[in-house]
Amino acid sequence: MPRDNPSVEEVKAPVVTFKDHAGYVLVESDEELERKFRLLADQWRRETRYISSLSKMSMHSAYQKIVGMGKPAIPLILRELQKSGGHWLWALHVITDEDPAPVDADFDEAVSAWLNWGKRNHFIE
Amino acid sequence: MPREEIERDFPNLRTSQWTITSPIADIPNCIGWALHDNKQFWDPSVVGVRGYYWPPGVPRVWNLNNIRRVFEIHGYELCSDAELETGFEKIAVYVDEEGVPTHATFQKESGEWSSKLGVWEDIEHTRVDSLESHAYGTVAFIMKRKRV
Repeated sequence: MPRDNPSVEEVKAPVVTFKDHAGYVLVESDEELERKFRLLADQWRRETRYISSLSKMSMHSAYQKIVGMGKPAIPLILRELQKSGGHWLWALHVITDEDPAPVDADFDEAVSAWLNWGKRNHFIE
Repeated sequence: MPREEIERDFPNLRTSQWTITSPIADIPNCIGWALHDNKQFWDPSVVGVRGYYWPPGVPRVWNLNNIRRVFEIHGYELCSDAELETGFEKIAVYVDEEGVPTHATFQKESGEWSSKLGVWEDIEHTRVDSLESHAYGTVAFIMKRKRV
């Protein structure tokens, strides 16, 4: 017989976690993480727009903070790359310790390789 | 990006003619642009991430000597001024206060300079010093090669 007043534990939304093929634990999208990512990504784009050196772009404090978010930032970075482009390959490489691009890939080819990697590993659709 | 915003960051543009010549793009960067390679972002990519181009034989460090070497292996040699010379193509490299390269631009046959501003637009400007600024510092050297 159903009860009228379920306990707090029963109504609490479950935290959905699962592992992708690479073994990373994905947590249901977090609003705060996305908000923080958006602010940092916008700041990074604004403050590095005239820079032509990848090292200088990547060493920007906002970019480093995104890298510091670690694995939870992977889907956010991939979605940003998918939607707006940008020099996110360095961050993806450092966070994942992978590089799915062919050795002699140009930038567009490397971006495609990373987006395919993200799809294969269920980070993005 | 609005013209006013570019002029705010490069105030010398306000006193010369200049135009935006293409939209914002992640590639190329200014080095690729100056060497007429519109497909690649020329960078030593010191952490080894793929997708960036750096010519073989040039040390993988972003400094003035190595940027000069990149242009040398493409037929450029140092010259004394930025004046238009018939039959020659010129490039200029800018450095910040610490001597770190910030930008490269090339001179068109018309005498105008063409610059890709980082990952933003490319522009044409009449004077090489139009981009001297807090962002790009000053011109460090000019090089030239025979126009093909």
